[in-house]
Amino acid sequence: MMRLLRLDALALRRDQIAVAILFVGLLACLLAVLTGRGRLADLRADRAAGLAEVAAARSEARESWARAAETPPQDAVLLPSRLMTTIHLGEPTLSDFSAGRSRLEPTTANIRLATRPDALFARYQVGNSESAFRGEIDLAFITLVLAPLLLIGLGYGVFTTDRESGLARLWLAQAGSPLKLLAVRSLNRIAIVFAPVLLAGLTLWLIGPDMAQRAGPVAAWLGVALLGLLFWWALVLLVNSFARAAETAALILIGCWTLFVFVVPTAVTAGAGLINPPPSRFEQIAAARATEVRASREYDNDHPELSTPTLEGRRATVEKGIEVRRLVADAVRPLTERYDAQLEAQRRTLQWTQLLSPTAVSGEALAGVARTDAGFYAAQREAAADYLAPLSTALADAALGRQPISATTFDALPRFTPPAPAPTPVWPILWVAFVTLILTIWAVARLRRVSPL
Amino acid sequence: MSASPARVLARKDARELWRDRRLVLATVLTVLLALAAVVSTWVQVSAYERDRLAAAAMESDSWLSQGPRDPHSAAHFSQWAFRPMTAPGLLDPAATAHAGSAVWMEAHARNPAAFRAVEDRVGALELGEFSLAWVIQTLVTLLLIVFAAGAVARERERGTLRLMLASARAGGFVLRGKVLGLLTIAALIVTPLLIAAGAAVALSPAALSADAVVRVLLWCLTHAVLLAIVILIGVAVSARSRSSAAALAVGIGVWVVAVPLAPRAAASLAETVFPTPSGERFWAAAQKDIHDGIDGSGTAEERSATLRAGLLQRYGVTTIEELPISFRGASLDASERFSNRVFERRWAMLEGTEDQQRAVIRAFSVVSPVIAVQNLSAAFAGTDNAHQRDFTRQAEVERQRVVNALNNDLTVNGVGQPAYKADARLWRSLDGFRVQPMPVASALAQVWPDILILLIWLIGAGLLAIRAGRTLRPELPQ
Repeated sequence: MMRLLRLDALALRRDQIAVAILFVGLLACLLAVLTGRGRLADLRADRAAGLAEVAAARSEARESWARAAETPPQDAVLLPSRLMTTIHLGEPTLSDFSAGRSRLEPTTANIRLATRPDALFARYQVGNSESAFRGEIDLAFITLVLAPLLLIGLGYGVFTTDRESGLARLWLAQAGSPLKLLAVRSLNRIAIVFAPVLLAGLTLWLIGPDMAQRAGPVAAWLGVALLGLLFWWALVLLVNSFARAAETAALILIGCWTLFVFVVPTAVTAGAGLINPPPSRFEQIAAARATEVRASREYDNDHPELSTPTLEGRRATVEKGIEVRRLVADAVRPLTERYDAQLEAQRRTLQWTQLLSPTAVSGEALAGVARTDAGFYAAQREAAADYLAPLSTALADAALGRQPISATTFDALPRFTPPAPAPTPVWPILWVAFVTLILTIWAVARLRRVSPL
Repeated sequence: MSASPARVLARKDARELWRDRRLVLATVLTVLLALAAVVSTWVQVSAYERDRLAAAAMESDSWLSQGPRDPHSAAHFSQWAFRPMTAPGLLDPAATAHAGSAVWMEAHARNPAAFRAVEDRVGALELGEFSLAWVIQTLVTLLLIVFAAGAVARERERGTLRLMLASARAGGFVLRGKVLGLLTIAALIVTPLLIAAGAAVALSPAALSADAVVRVLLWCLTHAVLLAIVILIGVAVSARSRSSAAALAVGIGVWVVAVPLAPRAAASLAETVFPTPSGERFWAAAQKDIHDGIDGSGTAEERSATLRAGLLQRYGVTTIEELPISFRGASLDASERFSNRVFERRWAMLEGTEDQQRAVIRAFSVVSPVIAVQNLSAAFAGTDNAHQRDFTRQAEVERQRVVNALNNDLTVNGVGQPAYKADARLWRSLDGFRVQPMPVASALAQVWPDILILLIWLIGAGLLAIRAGRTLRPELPQ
């Protein structure tokens, strides 16, 4: 077996296409490592800068609250209204492996007493949409899109070429079954395509932060990536067991690749959106504003320090602001709930329809392991929205005199803790494993009694 | 009169491809998929326009019915601008899903367009917008590469190329026939799609105008050129290949680099070389500028003190109560004008980064004509950055007009009246903002380098095919 492996490896080394495929794989993975590293560094630098600013602002605010007793009460009452609390949402684990939604989603939220739930993430969209729609190169893209094609390039003629050239007759006469030789060829070809991915994954892990914490997710990520490639190789073997000519095998495999990689994922995503359309965001805006204008008529909630200089006036303004916020939140809630329900329905539809494409399932699983999937960010947003109510209540208590404005009250303000990510569902991966197993068994059964002609 | 050898060859090829059921099936599936994409986009655009019109009406109603109110409070309440969808946008949504659809034109801040359609999606694997442009740029190009792979190489494998070269006057005629045949097939695939797309555009709820018709024609022309380039390169590769399998391998390799890989690699590299600041950093920097000042303007407190001193001196009074204007109004106005300067600067920096990124992406057109086609397609569909910027700039001009008018009203009428309220007369005078569509000439001005690049690709592909025809041999040297 080892001798066969060495001989096949030697043949591959002399094969220009195999060398070219290895080179393309390495080059693409190098690009993925560079961009992945850059993405992670950007996210972490932003977070570090944000945390430093938050710490400085917090310390300054605490100082003001500590001196509140020495400040005129009508000025001190403004401190809770002016306090800006910046919360940092949870960090994705492997954004350098799978970009997923990491460039798209907010990482922080600024909360004040006046912040409404519908405006929590209103100001973070400054990305270049023209670049964004083209997508980016990450290791997940290489694994899901490019690597299968490279595998097809190496394997479309793994048996059919020998059949065409007449070699199959020769070695079937000598060895009886082609399985041993095909197993050897399979190992070498999968290694050529997977080695760059593995190398890139290990590089990202070694140069990335928190090596110990990321070891498990990195191993899981690479395992899912390998499973995805095994699916493709099983398909390659199956097609080889059916096809008479290498060109036919190539055409069928390219067709499957187009279908599983591009057509099904794109079509099911569009379909999930069409079947479960979320309510219009415009409707949400209109409902919030109609309520706001009704509730706040003849009231100035934006600059209480300028329009109402007395303590009572300012407290009344705060109270009115809280009332307006509550009314708007009540008006928007049905729409928000409908929106969340539709998104959840989209997620469910997608989860089932994606089973048609093992690539889509693998992509979702890779993003799930990397914590860059939609579910992870939805949970973060939800936690941030849930944090709004206790913080607003505590700030309102201070502003309305129910709690003293002091350092102790400031320290007792609720803190935001990002929620622990939900475990990644395993059954979609089991489905890919099951399909791969079936295809492999089928291919082996056919190849065991294959004809050389 | 006998048909030319090129036409005879074209007819033969078309008949052969028609007999290959695998390719017919692939073609039918592609056409069906494209039609599904047209219908899907039409449904989305229709729903969007319906919601937009309803929200705009409700928004105007909220603004007009806000009752007597402090003008600055109204400036905070302000209005929303909703981006209209253009009829040609049906053909290629391009950047639309990643660009916001509504701008809140509030006081003190130049907000980005919010509510991106991509936020309403839940999938992690983004491989393109399901649209006619995506089908043509991704699937039809792949189909043509597959068709072209065997065009000459298969004749060589069968030994029929020798016969063709003997019957035709030169290799150029054979290649012309092959190209003609594939162009006919491409036309057969694409024509029903374009008719369906044309019908969808005509039936679109977005206004159809002469400008839109020109855009649709330019969009079709751009894609026709792309398909011609693909066919010319595909046939040239086939002519230089020993077997159709080898031609297919090279063709697919070229396609992978040109279609899914190069645009992504370009975008990734552009982001690495010229990184876009995150939203959090952008806003933190803008707030810092406003607080600390720019160009030696001093901090917010210093600017306020300077304004106060300046007004007292200008009007020859000693206290702000004696001023003939509302100090609060003047102070808000000065603060607004300063923040406008800050935002103009910050947004210019952001747009500068976008332009630099676009230049990097465009440079990758050397590797792939698809990048130039994407730029042109989005420009003609009205779904690129230039159109988005045009919308947000119009919204910004309107925001400044409204906020300045409200502050001015407060400055003039709020003197000595801390509880001054403006009424519906003022709101009416500031209502009625309509986004003006960007003319096609302006769109063309943004993308002329892409037109040039695409023409160079067409000429290059043509020369490649001509050269392949001139050097066409029945057998390739070992």
